[in-house]
Amino acid sequence: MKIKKFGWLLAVFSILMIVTACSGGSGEGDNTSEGTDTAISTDGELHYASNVQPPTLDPLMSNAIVTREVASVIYESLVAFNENFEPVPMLAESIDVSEDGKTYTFNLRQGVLFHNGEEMKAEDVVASMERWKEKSSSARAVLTEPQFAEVDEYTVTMTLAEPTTLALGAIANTSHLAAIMPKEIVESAPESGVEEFIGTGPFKFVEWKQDQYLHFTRFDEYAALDTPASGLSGKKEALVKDVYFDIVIDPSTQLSGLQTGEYDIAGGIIQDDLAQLEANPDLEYITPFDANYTLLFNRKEGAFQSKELRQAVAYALDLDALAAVAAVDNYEITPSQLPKQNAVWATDAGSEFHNQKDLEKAKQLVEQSGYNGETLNILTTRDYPQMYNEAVYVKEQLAQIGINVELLVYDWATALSEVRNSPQDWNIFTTSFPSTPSPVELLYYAESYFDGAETDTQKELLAKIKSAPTTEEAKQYWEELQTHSIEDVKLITTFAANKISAYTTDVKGYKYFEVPLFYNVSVSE
Amino acid sequence: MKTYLLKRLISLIPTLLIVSIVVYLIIYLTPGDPAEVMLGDSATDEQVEALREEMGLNDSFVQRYFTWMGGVLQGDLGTSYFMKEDVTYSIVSHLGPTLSLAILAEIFAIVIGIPIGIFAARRRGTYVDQSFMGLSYIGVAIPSFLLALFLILIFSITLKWFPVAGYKELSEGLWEHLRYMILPALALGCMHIALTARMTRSSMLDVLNLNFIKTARAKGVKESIVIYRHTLRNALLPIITIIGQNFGILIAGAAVVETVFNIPGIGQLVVNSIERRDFPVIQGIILFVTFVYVVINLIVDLLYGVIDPRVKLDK
Repeated sequence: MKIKKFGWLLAVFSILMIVTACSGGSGEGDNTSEGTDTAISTDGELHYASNVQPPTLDPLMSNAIVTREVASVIYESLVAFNENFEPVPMLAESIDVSEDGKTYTFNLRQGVLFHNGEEMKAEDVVASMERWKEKSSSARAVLTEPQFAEVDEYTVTMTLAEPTTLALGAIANTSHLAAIMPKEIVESAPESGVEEFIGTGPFKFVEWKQDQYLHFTRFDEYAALDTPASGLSGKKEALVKDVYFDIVIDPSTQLSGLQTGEYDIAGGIIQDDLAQLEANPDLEYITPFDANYTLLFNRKEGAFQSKELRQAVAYALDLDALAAVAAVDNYEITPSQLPKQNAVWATDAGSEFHNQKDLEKAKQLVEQSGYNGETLNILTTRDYPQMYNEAVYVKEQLAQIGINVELLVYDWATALSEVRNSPQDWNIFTTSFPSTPSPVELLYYAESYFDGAETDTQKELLAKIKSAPTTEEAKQYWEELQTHSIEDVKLITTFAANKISAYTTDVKGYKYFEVPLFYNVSVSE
Repeated sequence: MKTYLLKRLISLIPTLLIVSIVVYLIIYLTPGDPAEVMLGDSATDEQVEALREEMGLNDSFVQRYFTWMGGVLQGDLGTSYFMKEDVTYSIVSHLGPTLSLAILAEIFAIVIGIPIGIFAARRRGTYVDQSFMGLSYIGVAIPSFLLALFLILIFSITLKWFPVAGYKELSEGLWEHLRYMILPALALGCMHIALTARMTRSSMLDVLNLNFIKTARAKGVKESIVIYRHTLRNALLPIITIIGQNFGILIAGAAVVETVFNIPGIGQLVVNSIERRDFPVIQGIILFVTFVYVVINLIVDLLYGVIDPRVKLDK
């Protein structure tokens, strides 16, 4: 009996030993953590946690949102959006537009230095813009045969075959940013993108430690504007010396790191963690627009060539229920194909055909469509759980109106490849679209985009938006186009999701406009 | 010994060759295209085609395999599509964190696992033994990511002893390095602590029942000498085997823990590279991990001879 008691004591003691061994020298840890974790000061470091590593830092090589985010740290373009989504001069001093609207003259600011110390001149702008017009989807969508030419050292012209009010917006787009880089770098760039990252922004690129972080440091010779900061335009001041773009894949790690001060701002907090975030008085958050989640129909091949069948799907869905199933809380259900933040273009036109939740009508439409009971495939991915959940809901809902659906679940890379290369395999693709400056640049209106089969009405209206002499007039055509697109069920905008960008109360002045802004932000203790 | 070593080294070649072909074939058959991943959905077919051409993706399977293999034979594993750096460099730079993690986890397994095993074996059948072995079941069963989250909650967020995540290189100081490594190593090593303890216990028990131990005890040899010199030494072979195998598993299986603790190790590199379809990196890592496995097995086999003179490697 005595031995047994002794044994128990020993067992408890050993467990204690293990626990203390685990925490090895805890007291010491305490001291050091106070010494080193205080890398936070007004002239110190800003740590931003991003849940993806950019595929490239060359803004023209990818339309990934994360590439926009990092590219905007280093690069600037001739014009930038103010907070009302109006393009205003950034690297240009002023812009003159000819009477016929076909020639834009960019008078460049003098004394703007690249991060390599050389001054930005017209030849750099011409080389950069020539490359941009080849690669940018905005340029393709908006500009007709653009030509860039050097007039003198500080003047560049852009001539277009057809005038459009959307030209400067396309140049201000943060996706495929029209970054101005030194001529040598642009011209020596291989097909896979530039090999040196030199821009004119308030921070310069220092190091990319793969899968760990990107390090940027203040560019001391940055030529700041003195107009007030607004959107992406105006005065930019680097209030911290170093910016670290930490790659932190796991969202819960981001939140924990925010709580302990490892990161100052976290870009990828998920809805599940919102309650925890709100419960912490030291954390704040903003919810900028992320993307419009969308069901894209394959109208090139298969059953959804039938408009009635597409409409049946639209009537069968209850988007409020769908968003609840997709497990997002931070969303809006709106027919607007551009985010409401974009006051110029956001519109509710077409709402009479959006989110109608009418199963009876849906069943009638299935009958009219002559659907023969064949199995239809929804192409989706678990890489973005919202998309997968959405697909599961759609499958259930379509079963109720007699449409048989199978899910094709792939990883994102395979899904992208399937969409592009195997149109015979899929009927609906779950995807999402980020914001664009104007509706013309929405990817799904591009002729080269996967679903193909554009209607004449769509083509006509797109042309009218592009060539309208005023934005007001263009907006009328856009309302018509959005209505047409919803009625024709080109796609279904299921919900507009917002992202959660959280930061500690030590961070002052943090804003998000298309991208997280790291200038005019200070971090105090 | 020398001929044995030579034989084993030569047998490496066909193993690696077969692995290289299988890996290449699997990757070749995998859907998804690195050029499409890089350019995104806005790219035109022409842009994708131009990039594919530059990446050499339009060459035939055989041509690509031989170009790659030719490089490998000269010690060049190729260049990463995405990171634009040598695959060898990527592997080496991501290997440091993983190796450090695996070694620390292994140290935990040895320092904690073996004593518990010995302790439990000496008290076979008692409550102590049973509770330790019960605990070890939990240790084997608990998923590393769950344990990791518990550890973060307790030691990082509540007690603030350790950082939540991240990685500091050894060059920034040993303690600074360890501070970031201890929780991940515990999360990763927990299963191995448990496995080592169980293996030690059963192996010790086998030996403790043998006649020579009874003889030693009958002769009145001190108990500590019986346990450590006679029993443990004889029980060590299976323990060493499991430690060796564990090491391979630790290196190859650290991906989950690396993700939770945001450690830029090999595991994370594999996962990221698969998502990006960064073929040269995936091939390079698999070949490398195969190599590590084979070499560790070889080392373990050699250790047998050192520990147990009865094991002769020449024959």
